[in-house]
Amino acid sequence: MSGTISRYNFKAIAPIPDSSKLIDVVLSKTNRKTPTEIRANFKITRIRRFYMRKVKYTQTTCNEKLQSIVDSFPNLDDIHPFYADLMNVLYDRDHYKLALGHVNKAKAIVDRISNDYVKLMKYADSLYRCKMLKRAALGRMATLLKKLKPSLGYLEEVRKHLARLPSINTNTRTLLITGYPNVGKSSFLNNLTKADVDVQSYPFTTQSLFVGHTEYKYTDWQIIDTPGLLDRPISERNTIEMQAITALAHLNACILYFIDISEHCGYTISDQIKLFKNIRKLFYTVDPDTQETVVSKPIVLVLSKIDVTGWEEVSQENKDLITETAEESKAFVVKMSNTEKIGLDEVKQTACDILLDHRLTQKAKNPKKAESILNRVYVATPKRKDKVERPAHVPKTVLDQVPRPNDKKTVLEMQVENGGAGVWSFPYQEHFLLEDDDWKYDNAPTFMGGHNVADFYDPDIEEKLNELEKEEEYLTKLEAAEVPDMPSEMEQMMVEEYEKVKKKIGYIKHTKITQPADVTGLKLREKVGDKADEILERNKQNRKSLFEIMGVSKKRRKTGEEMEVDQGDDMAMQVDKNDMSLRMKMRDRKIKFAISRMEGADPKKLSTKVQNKSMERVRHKIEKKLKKVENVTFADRMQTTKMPKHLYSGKRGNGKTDRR
Amino acid sequence: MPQGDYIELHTKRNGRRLDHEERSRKREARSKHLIAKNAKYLRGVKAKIFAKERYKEKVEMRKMIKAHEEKDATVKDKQKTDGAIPAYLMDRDEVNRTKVLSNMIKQKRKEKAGKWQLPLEKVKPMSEAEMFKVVKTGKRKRKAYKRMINKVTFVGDNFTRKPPKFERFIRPTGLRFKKAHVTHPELKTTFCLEIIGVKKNPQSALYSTLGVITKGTLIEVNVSELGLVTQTGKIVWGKYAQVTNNPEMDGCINAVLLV
Repeated sequence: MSGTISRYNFKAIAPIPDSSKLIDVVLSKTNRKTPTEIRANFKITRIRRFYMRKVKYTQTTCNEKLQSIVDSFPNLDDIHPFYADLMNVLYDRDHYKLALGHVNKAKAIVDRISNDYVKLMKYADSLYRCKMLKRAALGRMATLLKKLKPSLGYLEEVRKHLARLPSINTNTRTLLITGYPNVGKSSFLNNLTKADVDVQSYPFTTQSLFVGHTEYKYTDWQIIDTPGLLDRPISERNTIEMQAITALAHLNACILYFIDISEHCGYTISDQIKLFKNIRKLFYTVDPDTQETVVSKPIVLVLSKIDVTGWEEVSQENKDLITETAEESKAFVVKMSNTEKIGLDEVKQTACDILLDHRLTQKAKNPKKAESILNRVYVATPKRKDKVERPAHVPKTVLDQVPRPNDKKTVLEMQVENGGAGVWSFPYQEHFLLEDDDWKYDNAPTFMGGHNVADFYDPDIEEKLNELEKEEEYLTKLEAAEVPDMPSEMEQMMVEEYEKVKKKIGYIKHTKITQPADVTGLKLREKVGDKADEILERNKQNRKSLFEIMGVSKKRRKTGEEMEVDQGDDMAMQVDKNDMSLRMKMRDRKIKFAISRMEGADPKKLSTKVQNKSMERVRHKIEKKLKKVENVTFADRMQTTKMPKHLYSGKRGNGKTDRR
Repeated sequence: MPQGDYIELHTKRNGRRLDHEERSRKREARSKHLIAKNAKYLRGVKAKIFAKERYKEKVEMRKMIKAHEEKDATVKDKQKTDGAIPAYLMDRDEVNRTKVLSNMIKQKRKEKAGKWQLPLEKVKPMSEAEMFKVVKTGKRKRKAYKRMINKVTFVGDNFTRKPPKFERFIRPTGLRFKKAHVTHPELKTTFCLEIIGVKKNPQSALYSTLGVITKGTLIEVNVSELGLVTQTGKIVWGKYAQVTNNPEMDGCINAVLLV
């Protein structure tokens, strides 16, 4: 039932709308989400459906809204008893349940209304009657929501207050501060945590629970400050005090009971002890083993304001009283002062330690928990095989390499010796890796002639410089010898080769056109030739037909127009010529490519470098061309006609789409 | 994490910002601009809701202004004339008295005329087509003698249907009502009472027998809940009430008790 969820998020409850607002939301949603157009001449079934939908839709939205309201509030039976009791104290359990019940009941009534009216609508025979029934249905639902006004108002107030409750984790390590008003509870919380609770010199400054968080032994601890308590029977306690009582009763925490030994709070020490004895009853439980009443929570009696009145100044009578009660309830006594900050840590330490101890013993007592922990734990206890000592062995070489601590000065020491930070700077030069160690401390320019030297740095500069120097040396030598300008043997050879190649190319060109070099070439020639003949033939025909046309026109026209006609004839001729020459050129090229490609395939024929180069160029061109045709991808964008006019212009006729 | 009345605590500790008063005054003053903007730009349902709210506010405003306005009406100072009244004033008083008399006579006549003074004296006549729907029957749906009643009906507990062949008038179960919201005119309270029977439907005697309930119908309701007592001391069980709404339109029967 409890304990499964230790942290409740009461802040997440959405605001509860006012009843009039709720009506507006529901009705306007119906208006927005359902169709709005209807005519009296529609089929009656359609009209009925139209209005039924409206009624049904309103019902569902109403239900959704109400359900979300009911669901957002915690069920008092499901939450931790501390929260359940706190809510009972603050908001009155009965009132809370009635309000939620009221909202919940409204849901069922909305359902009933909707069902009734949908049923009546089935017999409606006109649009008007349907409309009136819908109106009545929505009206009744709206009235119902209107009647929820007080309940919704109450729930909204509860929500606002819940959001301001401190988020207390009911399972974690907790210290709970309590005591008479004005004894320094809140100042203690402020001293230990960042809670920043209001502290005033008058009693009942704190009127609700406050939580702060602190750290001890690397874990988070929760400290809860409660309003001050007065010594009176529980039936007479007011809401503020009851909050403290619920916290005391339900939270598994270490209780810090504050006693003002200076009695500045207006209550005597004996009064405060009396109150302690009174609330101690809240922690009594019956020990299952011994059947005795035991104080079930760890308690620390905190004697505050020792800066005003020391422990020594307290009368013997009171001292005895305090120690006696402490012994009775197995409580620790710690002295502290908030204003002087004396003993704050001591209080925290003792409280935390005894609570940790208490929690551990509790866990151990619970057989299930103890077992589950023990199951996870395994303590290995290896036995000694013999009595030979086997200390850790470190080889001597390693020990030698370990730097001795006082061998060299650290950078920090050097800095301190030489004037501290800012004055002394780290000697980078010491660590430079240079050819000559003497260069280490040279002044190297960083800027020269307005340029950054580093910009001109080249890692190979040394080599380059050497090369340049060598060349210069060579040149000066040559000058000295005054040798006549003769081409070298190499150059001579290259020139001869070039001449040879030139001749060869000319020869190949000639042979290519007149007689093909080999069989494949011949085939190619045949192919192209066939085509060429065809083209010639066709052109002739064309010309013929053209002439014929011209002839006809000539006959029809007068001689005055002859000039024009002749011109036209000439143009036609020209076109033909152009066409022919172009085609011939193309053919030549094709053959050339074909042959060169074949040659490229035969490495023997590549006699010289020059030819090789030209071959390369040609091959590159071919490849480029081939690539263009073959490897067209989406990247090779081509602008095509996006909307062909014939598909988009004119009205659509009766024909089918794909026949257009 | 904020807890408790942290906002109040903050203002208590640090006070408000120096221009708080000015800012709140301005915000208040500018709120009218928002209203104006909403009035101008809201559309559809939101505009309707807004206009309705605004209208209510304005009515309140006008009432408030009127209540605080000083009226310029001239109050007639009635001069008490003792003794003799001038001749030209004598007629007026007499006229007044006659008027009162005539009213009284009218009332007496009325009381004599009818035993009950009905809340609704006249009803709108209904055509048969409105009242009934023709139900076609027979294998070929040729016969059209059956009628289905379109209005709300009252059917007694011990009613059993006739065999279908002889059932001329069908009273659909969905339109049968057993209870009515009856208002006691003197107590000004409404009770949900059981219907005992239909006394008279003003539209036609047929409808009375069929138990059709339309606007103006006299119904008998069970008033034992109200604890009414006769002069002799017996508890009144049944009483008549007149239906004041169109039950088929509203989905409920509202009636006024005839006292």
